[in-house]
Amino acid sequence: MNTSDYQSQELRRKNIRLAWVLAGLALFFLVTSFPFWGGLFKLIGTQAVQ
Amino acid sequence: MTTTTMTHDEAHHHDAPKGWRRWLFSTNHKDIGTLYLLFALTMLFLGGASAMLIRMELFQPGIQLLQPDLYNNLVTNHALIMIFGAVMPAAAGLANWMIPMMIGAPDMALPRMNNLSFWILPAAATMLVLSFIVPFFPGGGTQINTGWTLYPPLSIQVGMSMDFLIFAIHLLGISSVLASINIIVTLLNMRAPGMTLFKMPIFCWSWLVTAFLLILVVPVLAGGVTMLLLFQHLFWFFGHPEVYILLLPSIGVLSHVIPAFSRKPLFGYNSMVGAMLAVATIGMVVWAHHQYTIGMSLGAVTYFMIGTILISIPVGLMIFNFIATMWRGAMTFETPMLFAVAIILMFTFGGLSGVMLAVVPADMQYQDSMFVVAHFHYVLMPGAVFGLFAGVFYWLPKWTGHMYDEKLGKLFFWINVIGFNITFFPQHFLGLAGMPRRIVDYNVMFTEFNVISSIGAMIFGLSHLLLLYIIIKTIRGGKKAESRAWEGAKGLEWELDSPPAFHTWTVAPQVK
Amino acid sequence: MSKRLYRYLATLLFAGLVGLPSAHAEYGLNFPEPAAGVAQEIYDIHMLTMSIATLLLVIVFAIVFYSLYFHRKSRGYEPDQNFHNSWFGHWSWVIVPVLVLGVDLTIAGKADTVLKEVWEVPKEENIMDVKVTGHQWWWEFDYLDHGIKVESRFLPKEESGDLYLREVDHRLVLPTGTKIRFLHTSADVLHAFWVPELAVKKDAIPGYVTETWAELNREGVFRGQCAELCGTWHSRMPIVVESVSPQQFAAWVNDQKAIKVAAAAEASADKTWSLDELFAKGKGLYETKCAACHQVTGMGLPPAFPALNGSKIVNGPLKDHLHIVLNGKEGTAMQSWSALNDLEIASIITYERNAWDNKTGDVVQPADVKQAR
Repeated sequence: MNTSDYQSQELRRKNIRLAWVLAGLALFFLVTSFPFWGGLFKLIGTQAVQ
Repeated sequence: MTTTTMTHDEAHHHDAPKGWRRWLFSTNHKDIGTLYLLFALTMLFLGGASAMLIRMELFQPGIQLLQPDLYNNLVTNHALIMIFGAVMPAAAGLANWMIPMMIGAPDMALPRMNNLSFWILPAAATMLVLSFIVPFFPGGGTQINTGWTLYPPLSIQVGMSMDFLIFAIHLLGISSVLASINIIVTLLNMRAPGMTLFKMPIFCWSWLVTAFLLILVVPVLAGGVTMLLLFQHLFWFFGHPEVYILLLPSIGVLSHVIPAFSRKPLFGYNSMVGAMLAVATIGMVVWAHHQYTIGMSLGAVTYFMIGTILISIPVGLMIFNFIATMWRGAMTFETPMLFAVAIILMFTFGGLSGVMLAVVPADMQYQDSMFVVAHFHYVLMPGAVFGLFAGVFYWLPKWTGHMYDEKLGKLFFWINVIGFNITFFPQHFLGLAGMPRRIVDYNVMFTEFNVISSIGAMIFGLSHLLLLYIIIKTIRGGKKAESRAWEGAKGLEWELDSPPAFHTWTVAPQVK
Repeated sequence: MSKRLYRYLATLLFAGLVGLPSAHAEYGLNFPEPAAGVAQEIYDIHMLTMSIATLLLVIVFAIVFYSLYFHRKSRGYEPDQNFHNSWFGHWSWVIVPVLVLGVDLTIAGKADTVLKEVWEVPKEENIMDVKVTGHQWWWEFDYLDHGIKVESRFLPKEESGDLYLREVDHRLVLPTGTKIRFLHTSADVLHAFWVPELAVKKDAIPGYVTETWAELNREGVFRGQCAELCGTWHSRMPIVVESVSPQQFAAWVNDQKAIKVAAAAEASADKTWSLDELFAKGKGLYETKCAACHQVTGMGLPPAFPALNGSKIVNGPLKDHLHIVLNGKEGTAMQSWSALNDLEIASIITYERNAWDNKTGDVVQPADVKQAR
């Protein structure tokens, strides 16, 4: 017995779709964190020489 | 409506599978919530034991108990275990138990994923423990002597044990992202008819905000530990919002506990929601105040300083709302309320020393000293851990069907809070006098306060055995709890039996 | 011990009751007395923010305790169910942030002024440059304008007594009344240079150079420690600043130069050294420069720091031994020691190859080192 059996097919589809959207958001942040931070680091700049 | 739901639930009362299958294959939000909470309790003791070893070593100057690398490894483990093992799973446990019951949903939106996101945790904890053990074997690298910040290039010197730790962090990250997705979907799609977003209990709001924060910042940590490049900025882009991830669920708990024991509604529901959103937003863009000393340009530090100081506005508003909720209420002081009051007082203290730390020129002195250690323990212990204690005591009657022993609860509160203050208050002085953090050995000039702090830490640490005893005692028996266990408690969860049936709200209640 | 403990507990209570400002100095409850102009301003802003914080804390405590006492069910207080619907309830979300913002701006305004002074190193011709390099686990101070260098290491307990972990073998000597620019960098991992009296703290990051500055306004000895976790012996990186008058400083510089010239002359002398001479010299150098990791006994602290006693490299071909000392080993704490002169390296290697159970009998001459570079 699974409590998701209480969900209608429609609600289930809706839930899974939203979960994928959120997972995509997380993935987007993971992927963009690499170049984004490199760029921002240069932008902030440091008083450091070299 | 409510009564028909009850009878419907009765029919399913004996659905709970028996034996280990019930737990390993569980898709039931209550069982998974229990698993989360038990896991967190175990980790609390593991992280607490490492903290007590640290304080034992610092009891006197000299190296008595722990060699430096072992000491540093315990410092690293204490932080990681407490943050990822104890506080976050405990908050997730509360969310699992309470959110479906609060919003009138039969379960979490994605019950199988819920099972997965819990069962990743023990695997991650095993990896973390292994990272501590492998250095004792040939080829295992050195002990992880970097602290939880894992700054390169020091972290590159470590070797194989670091690989285990990075894998553990990835697993923990995956687990919390999955749990967050589940919570957001549940909150957005599964609310009972009539419960609009702005009728949602504040605890649900706090988790909605927390879950979004997690989804945004945990992947960045994952990126950071993988590439070990520009790591300080990446680490703190995760690390600072993480503070609010730890804090917000407890703020949510307090928004239930304080009105219940003041017997009047929460003061400023909307401003509370607004403050949480503001904290999360500002909290995302002020990370560099953890690294003022790395040599940023004047413009950058000025921005980060002002941004950080501005966080006091939403946080101040939260504290104000709590005090205004108590004001002209009819208060009684059961254990959850005692913790709530202690949080208001001590979290204000920690927040104010946080404003001092935000001031860049002064931070040139505080940075990486024991003052910082004192500050963040004053923020995180009341702000996160005491909030969770309050929540556990508040909802324990609901979960177990028994009232906990109020006398013991109060005793635990007093020992715990007094022990905490003896431990961390003197560390402010140590930091100002010039003691850096994370040192295994110190000059005799720092002896007195370290002695006091270590004695406090023993009291504080051991007091948690009493917590364990109270919880076990409550699970095994005690005075029968009513559906509405507390006189002033409001919300859908109190309309269910104590303990609730295995499946609840299978027919959604109508919220007016 | 217990008497001292009581005294401190009493102080603690006292400090807790009346706020920190009134009880500092003698118990080390607050920052030590500043020894530089900017440090004084930092101290002042610290006191300002702390006073504001204490005041706010007192107000919050007062309101909460009033409420805890009067608004209790046991006193028969009836809860005011409409408190949140009063005008106050409707407008507090504006009032409170505005009040907090006022406090914030007071602090930020003052902080901003001080920040500029701290952050911007004065552009002056005669500013004195000191390059501070963090190493695992010692400090190197290069007086760039004077061409001298000081290596500063912690002293073991037998030599430092009560100042253990706060005393070094060679201090950072600085003149008063002179603007000094510190250039921070690191040879291996992150470190942080921190001397509370100077209110200077900056991370030392390998590959980067960051700046801070100070102008000492009084003579004295000021002690600090490394403030960024840098591995095993993070606790053993004290910094001791000896602030002296410009005249004394000039005399000290001359002494250091003379020592440097003598050492260079000795090293370049075309002399063939005997095993005993090199061994004796090498023992001293080994114990200051190498023993922190490899230990006086040569047993190291495996796995991080391998034993030299019985080591394959130390007992193997001389070429490999010279190579690792001169170039370090990638990915480990073993750094390059090429900054040492030929004689120093020759004597250290001779010592290592003949000390403990190592009995190679090899005598390494400075000329061999020169060739290997």
